[in-house]
Amino acid sequence: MRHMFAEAFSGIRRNASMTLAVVITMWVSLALFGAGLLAADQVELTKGRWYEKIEISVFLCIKTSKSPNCEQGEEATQAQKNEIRRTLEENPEVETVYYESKAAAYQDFREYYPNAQVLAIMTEEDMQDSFRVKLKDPEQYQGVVSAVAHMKGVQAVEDMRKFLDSIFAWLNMARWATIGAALVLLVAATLQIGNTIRMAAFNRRRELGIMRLVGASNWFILLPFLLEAVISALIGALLACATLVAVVQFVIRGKAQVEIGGDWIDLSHVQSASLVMVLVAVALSVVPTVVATHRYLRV
Amino acid sequence: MKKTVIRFDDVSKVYPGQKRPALSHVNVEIDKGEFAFLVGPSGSGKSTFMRLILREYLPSSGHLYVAGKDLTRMHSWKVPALRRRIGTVFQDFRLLPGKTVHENVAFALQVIGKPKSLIKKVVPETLELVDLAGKGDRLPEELSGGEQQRVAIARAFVNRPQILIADEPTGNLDPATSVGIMKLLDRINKANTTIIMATPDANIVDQMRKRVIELVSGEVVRDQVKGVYGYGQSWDYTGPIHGTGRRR
Repeated sequence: MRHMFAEAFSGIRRNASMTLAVVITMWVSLALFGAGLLAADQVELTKGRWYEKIEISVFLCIKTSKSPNCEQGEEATQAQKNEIRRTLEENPEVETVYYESKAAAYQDFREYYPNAQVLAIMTEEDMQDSFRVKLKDPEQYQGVVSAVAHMKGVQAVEDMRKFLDSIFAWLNMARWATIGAALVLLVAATLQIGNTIRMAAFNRRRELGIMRLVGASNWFILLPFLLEAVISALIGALLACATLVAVVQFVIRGKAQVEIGGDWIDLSHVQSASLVMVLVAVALSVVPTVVATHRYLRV
Repeated sequence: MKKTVIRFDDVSKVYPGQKRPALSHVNVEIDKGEFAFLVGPSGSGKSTFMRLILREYLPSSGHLYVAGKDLTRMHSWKVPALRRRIGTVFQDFRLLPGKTVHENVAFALQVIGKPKSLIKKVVPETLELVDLAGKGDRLPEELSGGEQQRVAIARAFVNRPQILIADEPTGNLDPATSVGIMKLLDRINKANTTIIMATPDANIVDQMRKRVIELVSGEVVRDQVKGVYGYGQSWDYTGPIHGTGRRR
């Protein structure tokens, strides 16, 4: 065993510049890969928080409404309102239905945007009565929307998901781009490990030939190379994990959390991403090593 | 009772992409403790004969038994164990240039996982056996050709193999040095080690009066108990000793 570790470390020393190149490539590509994983976590986190608050707004007709569901120049009647409320409440997907009157909407608007210039010309009559519907499962909105969308007195049904979904689609794309770039770099890192080990094996081909001749087992021949590759890949992986810890600790928790607020990823997410990164590093160092040394192990 | 350690049972070997077999229907038995010369012109199949014993290749047909194991049925992961019972010496010594004599010999034991204490004991003993006591700290390039070959023999013998394969071990040495090497191999043979030695050196074969197996174009054309070098004088397995063969 001591012999193998000694061989692995002497291999790393002899090949110092190649090993350094492997460590750096592994570091950058795994950090990027981990960043992709963390971005996915962040998207899920934000999604969950926003979706939880999602409501469906059923806007009722007012005098100026131009929807075919509305009588021209007429507000929704009380009978229509009752019918709509009953339909909503009977829907199994609906958790709560809350009626927001024009007056309440106007009040809310003034509270949220006290400095808006539009307040000067806005009156209560410009607001709309609406039903705010909270769903049991925010994913299951379609049924509710279609149930009330064509009822008399409904001007429009708005679902905030539409906006959120397009935002999340962009975020997802950014995340896949990150992971894609990381994968390309990881391929480069893998090839680099393969080349490094191939060179190391070539430099030691006399030893390897004699080892085979005197009956050294394949494990004994392979293990120093395997250790060399895995050690340099793990150093790269550890640097990448440290980088992510630093980014999450100082940039995300230290700045974004404080300045923007909301739910942000924390070190527990880095922990699970790190586990994946370490596994990837091990796999991507073992496979090319086995391939590169294959010809020296043939009996 | 004699114990067969190597048995070629109708072994043929055709290399991929070649029509002519390198070995053709070879039937040879070699007993424990025997010393056999393998002679024949280059390309006659001597190297193939030896590499098959080491299981560097598998026979194309027939069966080959070494140390009681059928190599054609041996799992590849058992090959290292087979090779630990066979020592090998080459014409070009194949020593590791960066390692001292002691380290070169110790290497053969280290890489099969032998404990340090054993290595410390056995390596000097073996160096003494090959008359290199006191030269353990030298590097191979500081030694003469004959001494380098002694190191190679020490490395091949340090694990006390049953079989020693020597592929033209005196090919790079002058006649006087060769005699020394042959005496050493004879000594190892007397310690009940089977030796198979390929050589083109007629003088050595004639002097040793050991078994001679002659290969021509992959076929065994002669197998004599106490033979000389000459080509194809007799196919007689147990026949009379031929004193004069055609010499190279």
